[in-house]
Amino acid sequence: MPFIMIIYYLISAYLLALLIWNFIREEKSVDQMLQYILIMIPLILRLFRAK
Amino acid sequence: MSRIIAYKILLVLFIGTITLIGGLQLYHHRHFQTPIVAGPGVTEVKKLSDYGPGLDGTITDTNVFFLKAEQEGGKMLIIANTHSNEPAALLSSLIFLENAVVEKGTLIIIPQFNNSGGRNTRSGDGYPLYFEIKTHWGKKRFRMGNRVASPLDQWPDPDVYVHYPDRQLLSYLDIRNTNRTWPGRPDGALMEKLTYAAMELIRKENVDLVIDIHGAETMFPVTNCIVAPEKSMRIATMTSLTLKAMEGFDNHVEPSPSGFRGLSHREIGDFSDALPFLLEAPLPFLDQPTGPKTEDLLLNGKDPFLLKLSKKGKLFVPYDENGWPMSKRVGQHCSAVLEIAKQFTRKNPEKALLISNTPRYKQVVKNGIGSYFKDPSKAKKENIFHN
Ligand SMILES: [Zn+2]
Repeated sequence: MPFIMIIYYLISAYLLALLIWNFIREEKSVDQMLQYILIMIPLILRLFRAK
Repeated sequence: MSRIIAYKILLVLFIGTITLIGGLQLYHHRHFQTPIVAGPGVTEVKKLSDYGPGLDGTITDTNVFFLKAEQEGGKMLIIANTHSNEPAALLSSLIFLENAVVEKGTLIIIPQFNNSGGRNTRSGDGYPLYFEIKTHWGKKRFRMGNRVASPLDQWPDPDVYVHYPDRQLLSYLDIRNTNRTWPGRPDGALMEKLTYAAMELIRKENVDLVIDIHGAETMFPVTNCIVAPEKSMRIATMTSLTLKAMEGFDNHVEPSPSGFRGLSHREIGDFSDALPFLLEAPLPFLDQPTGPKTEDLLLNGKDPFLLKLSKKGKLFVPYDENGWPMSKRVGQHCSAVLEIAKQFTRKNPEKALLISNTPRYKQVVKNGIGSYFKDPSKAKKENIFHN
């Protein structure tokens, strides 16, 4: 795997962690919760390498 | 458990279920295999990765079928599914693959050229994932693909695609379009590697004729035609005139523009000794102002909006209540391929290419496409190729 891809996976994991953290902390806005989940989908697929 | 946590779990489950339902359909489509039955003429099956680097082991690698006669002669390469959402190409190439007998020369067929595009879809346009052709032994199911390769296989896209080697600036999307990445290069993007391997095949096998089969919108002027560069023009013109006179359908000749790079009919001719041709047949499914993109529209080409536009003279092909059935389009392609071989043979008798046991336009329209497909359950295992 090229070096740039390793960095890409690390960035994906980092962003996913941020999103999960924000999702857990969110107390009020359902809109925000929904958005966090939707944005997580491509990152999860990428990390699991699901094609 | 607080109400908010329960609410969040429900939300995750809800979105997860929807994602799974949609995702699994796409997953099955990407991994669906269609059996191809190699016909009596097939003598050898290779992989395109045998000719160029970087394809081996990827989903992009694809089968190359050789139909070689005992008598040496001319060599013709048929490429289908350059654009996998133009399936008349695949169906025509399979009619040759499953039936043709080559009496002189060699026929080489790549039925699923952009294999990544063939496993991609255009969800935003609501493309059907599959289509089925009726045969006497049941229905044969095919994947309906997309024009460009999947971003799952070639990623990321550039902001602007710089064509190699001309450095012409093209749309970012066209770096995944295998009719913009010719002649390709061995160390470029995956689709450039794919076209490079095909160029190597053409050069190493000394191919004389290359036919790239497509379909195009009825509202686009380059449809129902043979696109040919200067070097192929004579044969293309003779083919067009003969088809009109003998078989009664239009197939005008369009000159391949020299200033528009990356297209098969331009680059194959410039980077090898082969004569390239690109066949277009009308494909109402691709037109923008149609009803839903259904399997029925794909196969029959009937659409009320196009009919209205036709009456206003906005279409570039004849169009009536009968639409443009697939059998007509496939029949046109079969006749055009056979006629190009015939015209080439007439001019180059020492490099004759004689193909038999393949139907022409009227027979395909009369008998239906499915009557030329073999039943995989009755074929010998070694003759079945899944892709
Ligand atoms: Zn096309």
